[in-house]
Amino acid sequence: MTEYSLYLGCVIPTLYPHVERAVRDVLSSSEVRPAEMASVSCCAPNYMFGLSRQSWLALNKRNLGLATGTILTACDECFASLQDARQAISEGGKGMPEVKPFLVFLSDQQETLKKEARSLGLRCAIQHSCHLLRPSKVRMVDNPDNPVLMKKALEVVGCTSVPHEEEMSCCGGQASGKLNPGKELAAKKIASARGAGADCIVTTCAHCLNHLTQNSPQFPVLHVAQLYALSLGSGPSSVGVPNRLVRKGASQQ
Amino acid sequence: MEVMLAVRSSLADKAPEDRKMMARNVVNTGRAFTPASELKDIRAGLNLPNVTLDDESVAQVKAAVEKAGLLSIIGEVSGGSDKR
Repeated sequence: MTEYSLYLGCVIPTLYPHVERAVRDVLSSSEVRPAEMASVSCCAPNYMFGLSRQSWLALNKRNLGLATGTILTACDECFASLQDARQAISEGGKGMPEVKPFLVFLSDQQETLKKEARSLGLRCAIQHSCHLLRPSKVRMVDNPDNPVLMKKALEVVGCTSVPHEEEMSCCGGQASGKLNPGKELAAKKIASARGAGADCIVTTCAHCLNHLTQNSPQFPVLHVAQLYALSLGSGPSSVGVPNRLVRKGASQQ
Repeated sequence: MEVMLAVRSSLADKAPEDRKMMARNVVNTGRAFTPASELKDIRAGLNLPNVTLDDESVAQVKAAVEKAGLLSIIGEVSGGSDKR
């Protein structure tokens, strides 16, 4: 069986500890017991390593060196940063640990997890993270024009993917500036999801989660791990799922 | 210095001390964004492990960044591990 090390990054442990609880609860229902990476540092993602490639590389060389087996990430920005770093350190990532995003892990564990999963009955608008899908020839996770992994993952926990106009657009999390286009992109995304009749937005990326949450005080935005943990028996409050959402899902079954 | 600039940019509306704290978290420990006291309580309530790094890990991260040439920030924000 593949050995894993769990890399949680910065955003989830510090801003969204309920998501970390959810990730850990899902892992405990899977066949995998990943090693902790307690002394890792920030993966120094794009908005930082854009300013200093050397620092980004130095930090991630250390991070990659702390892994046992494959690194499992719960944030797609961490996934992209670590994956790029392993390629930069060694041609083709030779001798470096593999890096696997949480969504692919869910897909791998689908048969095990669905034995225990109960249906949640929610209608979900998917936020496909740019970092997970693009550049597709590097990431090699899913079809960037017609991604299916997240839709299949939602089916396992009895949720429906609701197509919406802005499904394939960026959340806007890295689009800053005087005119604040990031806020505008997030508002469009949220309006699109609501307009399509979704109960919530679901993503796999901590930065998408953070950006959309900040711009969506009322409409729920969740990490896919939260839905999985809920489906596998975690309490809604421990994994940060609003009770009203749980009730809504139950009423739609 | 570059990292500090990025941190300043993303926390432009925050007080200097907050920016400094965040910079220390990002560079020295990689634990960004959150004032520690309430986080510690939340994490304990969720039965999650502590996110404090030991001094040796902090020293390793600092050494890696120093080696890459980012000396200024280390000088400005160093101060041991992030006590949570």
